[in-house]
Amino acid sequence: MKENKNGNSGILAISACRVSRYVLALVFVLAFASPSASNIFPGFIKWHVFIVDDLSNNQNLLCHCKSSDDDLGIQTLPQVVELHHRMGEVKLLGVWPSPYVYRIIWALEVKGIKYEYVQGEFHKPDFTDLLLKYNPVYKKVPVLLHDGKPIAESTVILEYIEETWPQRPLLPQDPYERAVARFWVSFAEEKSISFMSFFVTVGEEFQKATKEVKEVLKVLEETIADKRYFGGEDIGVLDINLGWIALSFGVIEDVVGVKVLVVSDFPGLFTWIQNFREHPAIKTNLPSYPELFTYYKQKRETIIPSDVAS
Amino acid sequence: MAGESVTLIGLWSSPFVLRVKWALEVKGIEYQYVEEDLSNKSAMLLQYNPVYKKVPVLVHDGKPLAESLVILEYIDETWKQTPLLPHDPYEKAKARFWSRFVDEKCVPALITTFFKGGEEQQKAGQEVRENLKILEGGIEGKHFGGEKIGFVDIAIGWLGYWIPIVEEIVGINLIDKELMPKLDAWFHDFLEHPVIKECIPPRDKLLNHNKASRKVSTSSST
Repeated sequence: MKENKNGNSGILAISACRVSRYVLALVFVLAFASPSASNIFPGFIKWHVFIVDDLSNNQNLLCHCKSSDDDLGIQTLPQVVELHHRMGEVKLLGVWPSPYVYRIIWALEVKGIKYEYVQGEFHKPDFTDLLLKYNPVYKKVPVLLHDGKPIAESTVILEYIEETWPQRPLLPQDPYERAVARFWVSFAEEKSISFMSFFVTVGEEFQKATKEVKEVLKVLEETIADKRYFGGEDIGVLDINLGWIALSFGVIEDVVGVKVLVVSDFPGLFTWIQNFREHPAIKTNLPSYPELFTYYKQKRETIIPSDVAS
Repeated sequence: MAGESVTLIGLWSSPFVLRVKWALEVKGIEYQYVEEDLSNKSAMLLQYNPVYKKVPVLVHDGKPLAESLVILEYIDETWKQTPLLPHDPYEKAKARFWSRFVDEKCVPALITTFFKGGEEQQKAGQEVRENLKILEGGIEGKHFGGEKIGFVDIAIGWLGYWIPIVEEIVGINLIDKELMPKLDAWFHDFLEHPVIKECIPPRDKLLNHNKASRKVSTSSST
């Protein structure tokens, strides 16, 4: 095993202990430059540690990769090779208060992943140029950039985050349970059109949308049952996907002037909203009621001038 | 895996069912196929897919799953031979991105092109062409997944069979061989693969079926 220091700070300590005849465990402690230090020393300070497995056949070399920011746990050598990219830079391009962007913020926060949030606005050419470059198909947010590689579409981004950073899993381990969770995410995606319709229509179309929304909420009420979260004891991918309901549906109802998600009809969902909003990773990432109300009121007025709204 | 029971509830004319069939065949999984009559839905379908009451439904050892892309991911995770999704998370994300693109953008536009008329149809047809041009730009290598048949091929290859049928019935060109040479070549290649080709419904039967459903739809719309 060789090491190569590249940079002007940091401590490299290696200890090896023999656990058994067949397994050699190596523990590395690498101190990477902190984000603040990289402002002083431009270009971030990297440590390159070269690990060569010279053990004879049938022996596994186990490595524990850990920095002050990340702990990737104990892995076999082939897995270590794949892990290096997890410590790469994470950027999220978003626009306030997009519920799709919030999904990604929440997922990153729940998993404790360090990221830089780049908030833009659609009428600013600098930002739209970025979107055109990184999301040429849809030109929308959110876009996740990991080591400069872009991923678009919130459900796709969530799966990528789940696979790349497996800590604090958002999906169940069992393949069938995973498929069931994905089914519900797909359902929630498909039915979001009814909620959009609820916000932007009036008259007969609005009545139809309200009816559809109630039907979807009924299904969700049955699905949450008496669970704390859709994911069970802790937040899962469906909570993240439906989190926009906890974020802003109440505000939207107030702007539209019609309450649908009431505690008497949907006690389970009502409780879920409280649980979700109070979750430590979520509560510091929720805009306030007044600013959301102002935003959605203005939005609705551009779609439905006040002399037409019922 | 011996002793396991895998049942696919489907419809011969559905491309979404065909996706699942392809995945099962490519992986060499033994399964039982049950043809559903959507005009007279079976108790089994209503029990296994109460939310949508649609096909495909995969039942594995009594446990039902719906939504074709969800089923494809389940099949890939449960039966590890002939992996469909790439191993690398970023490549996986690309595969998922393109599959969803087809379902969210291409399919609705294709349905409108097929069932509607006049300006709405023309506009939808134009949208289909634009979406296909975008797909053209996304192809890397022989198949979407590279050199071997993968997730994206199975998720979107059916377009290469269904779109020419739509073109023939409504008389609008959608796959432009000059503007979309890679896509056109890829569709042909994919549909000629022996495992894939064997599952495809006969062209005349599918053509007539779609013609008939279009007649019913256009005569019943006000």
